[in-house]
Amino acid sequence: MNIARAGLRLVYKKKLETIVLIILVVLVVFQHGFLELTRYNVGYHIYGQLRDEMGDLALIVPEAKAGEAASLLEDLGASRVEASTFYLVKLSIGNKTMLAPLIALDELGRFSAVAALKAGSPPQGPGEAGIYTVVASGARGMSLDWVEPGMEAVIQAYTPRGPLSMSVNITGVYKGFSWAAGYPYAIVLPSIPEALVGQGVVVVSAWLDTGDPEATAERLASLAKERGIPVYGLLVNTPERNPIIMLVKSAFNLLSIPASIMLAFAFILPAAAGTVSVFRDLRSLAVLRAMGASIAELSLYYTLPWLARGLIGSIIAAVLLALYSDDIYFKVFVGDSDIARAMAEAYGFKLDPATLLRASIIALAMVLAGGLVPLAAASRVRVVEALRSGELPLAWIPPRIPLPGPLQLRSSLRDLAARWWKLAGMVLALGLLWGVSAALEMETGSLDSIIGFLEDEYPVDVYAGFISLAPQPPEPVYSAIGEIVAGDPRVQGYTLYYSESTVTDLPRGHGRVFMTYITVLQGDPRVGFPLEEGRYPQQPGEAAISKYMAAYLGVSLGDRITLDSPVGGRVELEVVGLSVSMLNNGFYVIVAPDSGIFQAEPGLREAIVMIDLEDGVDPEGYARELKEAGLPPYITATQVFIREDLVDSLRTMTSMVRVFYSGIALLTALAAGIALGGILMVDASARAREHGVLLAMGSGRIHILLGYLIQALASLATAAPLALALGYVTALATARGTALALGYVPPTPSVGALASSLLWGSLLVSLAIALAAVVLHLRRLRLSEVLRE
Amino acid sequence: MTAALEFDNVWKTYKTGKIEEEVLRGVSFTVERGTFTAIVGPSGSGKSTIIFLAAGIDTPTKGTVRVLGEEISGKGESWRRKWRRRNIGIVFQFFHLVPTLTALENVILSMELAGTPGDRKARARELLEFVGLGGKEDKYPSELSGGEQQRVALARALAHNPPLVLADEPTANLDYENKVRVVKLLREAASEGRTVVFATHDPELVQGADRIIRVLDGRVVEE
Ligand SMILES: Nc1ncnc2c1ncn2[C@@H]1O[C@H](COP(=O)(O)OP(=O)(O)OP(=O)(O)O)[C@@H](O)[C@H]1O
Ligand SMILES: [Mg+2]
Repeated sequence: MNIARAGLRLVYKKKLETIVLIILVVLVVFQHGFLELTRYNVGYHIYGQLRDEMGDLALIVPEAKAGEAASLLEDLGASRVEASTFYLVKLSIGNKTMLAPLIALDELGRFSAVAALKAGSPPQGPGEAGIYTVVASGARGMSLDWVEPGMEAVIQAYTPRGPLSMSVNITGVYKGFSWAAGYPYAIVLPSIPEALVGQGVVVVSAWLDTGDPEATAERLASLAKERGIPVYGLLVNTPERNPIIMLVKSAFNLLSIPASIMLAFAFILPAAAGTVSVFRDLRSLAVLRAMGASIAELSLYYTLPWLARGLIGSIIAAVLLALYSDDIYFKVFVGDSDIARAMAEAYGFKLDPATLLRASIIALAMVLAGGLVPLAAASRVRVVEALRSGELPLAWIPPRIPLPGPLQLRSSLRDLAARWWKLAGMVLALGLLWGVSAALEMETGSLDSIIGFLEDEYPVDVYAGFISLAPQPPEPVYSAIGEIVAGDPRVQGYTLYYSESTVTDLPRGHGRVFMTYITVLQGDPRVGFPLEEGRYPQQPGEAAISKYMAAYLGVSLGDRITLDSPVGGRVELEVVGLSVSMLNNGFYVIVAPDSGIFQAEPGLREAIVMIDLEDGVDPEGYARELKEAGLPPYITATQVFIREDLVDSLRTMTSMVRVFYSGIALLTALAAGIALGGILMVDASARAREHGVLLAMGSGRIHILLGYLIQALASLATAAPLALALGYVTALATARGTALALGYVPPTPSVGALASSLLWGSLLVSLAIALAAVVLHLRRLRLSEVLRE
Repeated sequence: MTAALEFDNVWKTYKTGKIEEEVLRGVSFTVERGTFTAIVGPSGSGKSTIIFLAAGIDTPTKGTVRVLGEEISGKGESWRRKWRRRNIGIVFQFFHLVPTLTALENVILSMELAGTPGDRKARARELLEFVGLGGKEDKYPSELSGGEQQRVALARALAHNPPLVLADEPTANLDYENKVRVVKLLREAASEGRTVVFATHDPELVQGADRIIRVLDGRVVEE
């Protein structure tokens, strides 16, 4: 018991070791906990906000059927039912034209609880309108961010009573979080024009106090079919099935997976520094053993102080998280976006206790595991030998190789070889540091390779989606578009296809994704979906999938996969081809037109075309023309973008990722620096007499420091294979974890990734910290004291 | 010619927490060049402290220490360190060999630091041979006995031909035969024009000294 107390006394007697471990634990627990808390809260905000606005279930039906749909939902046990009406119109502002939902001003607050007037004033009379845009819809040219009060807009609608056209002046710009009937923007009028009433779509939202939304949705779908209510869409809002939460959480893995590795640093310091101190104290340990102390007592002496320090660190980290994580969240992730602020304020920043506890417990477990290493070393103390030797004993007799160069460097390398625990600790710390930067490099390398593929190999220059404003168009949209592109001499090739998307469970427990089902209706499928292997589907039950998804799922040609179908139920498909396209991040399935899995008739009301232009044709000009010229009056382009838009948005994302990764690399460098510094400091105190003799003989501190630098460099060289393996495993885990948000591109284990600039930067930071710790120690070395004993 | 070592009213106080301990209280003495001088006194009297001050490893709280005409007590730490390389050879009471260098390498190390010209390896071998360690050149300190380590330390102190050799209990761990060798070696070092100052409890070693400085309670009581 006395030994345990003596062990605990070390916590305040060895202040530097205590401070170093506490800082380290605080650092790793805080950053892990913070990212996890943020992930939790973002998911919770999105779900809470979506539930408030959309309910647990939302049914999209024609305006005429809204009443029936509402009563159907009430019959199914909804505690509250609300409806928002949207009218799809063609909207032109400046030279841009798009399909947009139109809503009445008094609907705005209902469908988007956090909609705020950002500029201008609300539209008041006829001839005035507002624009609503969704926060963070900037990617892929879908944003209306550029619209300002004072601009003119033309609204065109196609009604059974004939076309309707009106010019309006935009007076105000609203921002909000909810998408409007599937669009990231809407046009807001004080009231709905007479001619449109009855022609809209209604989103009927229902809140369930009890019951499972998914089961209710299934009954709803079949009841609606029975009663002849046409369903344009059925949305189920559960945290697990929410595609936005899935995307956000997946995107978050980009940060949290590499960052989690830092938890392992909590292991290194107690393991290596603890073992160094065991060897430093070997003689007193041997004396204690000779006096009859048991190994259990000795282990208490060595493990308890580390555990106590780890506990203090975890508690401090938990307290800091509780106090500051919301502030940091606001600064880092909310920034000056008042919508994100409104969300965070409306739904709060919850300190999920499970998340807090998990980070602390993992760190403590790491510390404990690290504390067991010196215990193992202490239990193997050979009493007789330790008592015989005068100097700090060597754990292993290093080979007597007469390396060239000054003797002090030779002695440093031998010292490293003799003290395996120090070598192991430094190799682990440097390997982790290096592995993380290698992983980050491999990950950004994958992103770069996607950009490279889009720029250099993928044939598509222009993407354009079209929709019919008329429910029953005189000619299917796809053939009308086909006529336009097929005859154009500027078009080298095109793929005209139809798609529907749904959330599906992936086979073999690979999670859930938002899957796009594609069927090619006209043109050459090789333009948009070049084949890497196999062939395109020819009959129901066959599918060509992206090679990225195939790699993610581990399937190959001839395998069968089972997925949720857009019409409900599961569908089994045989993989007959592998294609290369990053459409929907590679989570797409190409099926035959008659596969029977689409809700609507493929290509009738909607179609998308991907175009490969002849060399020399300006894609931007072509895209502009495609949007405006020659379309039948009932068809409008939904979104048109060119290769550059896509590349730009990917570049923006890649550079954001780089910034965040630099942050992770810096934190890792700090943790590695603290761990290394801690190890070297304990080592320097164990070797104080050796250093004292060198100094007494006239050697400089700089030489001793150089010795440590040599040791660090030798450890670094030893750490290379570890770094490569760790980097690859981390990059792979990150690639898999972020597949939903970024697409799955497996990293290639490249030795080149080991030499990233990120590495040199972070290496410099950590070595500087580590060597500063040694300098600090050497400055405090009192020669006349260490040499007297 | 200047003296090899001069202590002029040297005081040394050690502070442990709030307690100040006066270890040396006005020590003055002079050691002429080429002499073989013993410092004697009971345990705890301050012998090692004097050796450390003479080597410039420690500085006096008050008073001056002059070595070979140079007042080292007033010099900065970095100056003293560089000065030490060439001018001082020291044998510590507890030897303090570098654990990861072999016996031979430990001896070469002092020549390397001092920049001694010539075949260092050959000289190191010769010295080790002379202190009776022929054949043990490639052993690490942990593979040598206490007495063997002490002789390596002595060889290390002499290897670079320093004008002042300081030795703290150089014969404490030796059997009779080895003691004779070590004394002979130290004596010869002194007669080559070098000065040897050693602290000891050993009456035999004291008898052979040219000069005896007796320390008691932090003061020199008799010369
Ligand atoms: N760093 C220190 N702090 C406080 N007191 C010290 C310190 N170093 C030495 N002393 C004290 O100084 C006194 C002289 O020590 P010193 O080592 O010079 O004695 P010594 O004559 O060499 O003894 P011994 O024959 O046992 O080696 C001792 O009483 C010792 O306790
Ligand atoms: Mg002494």
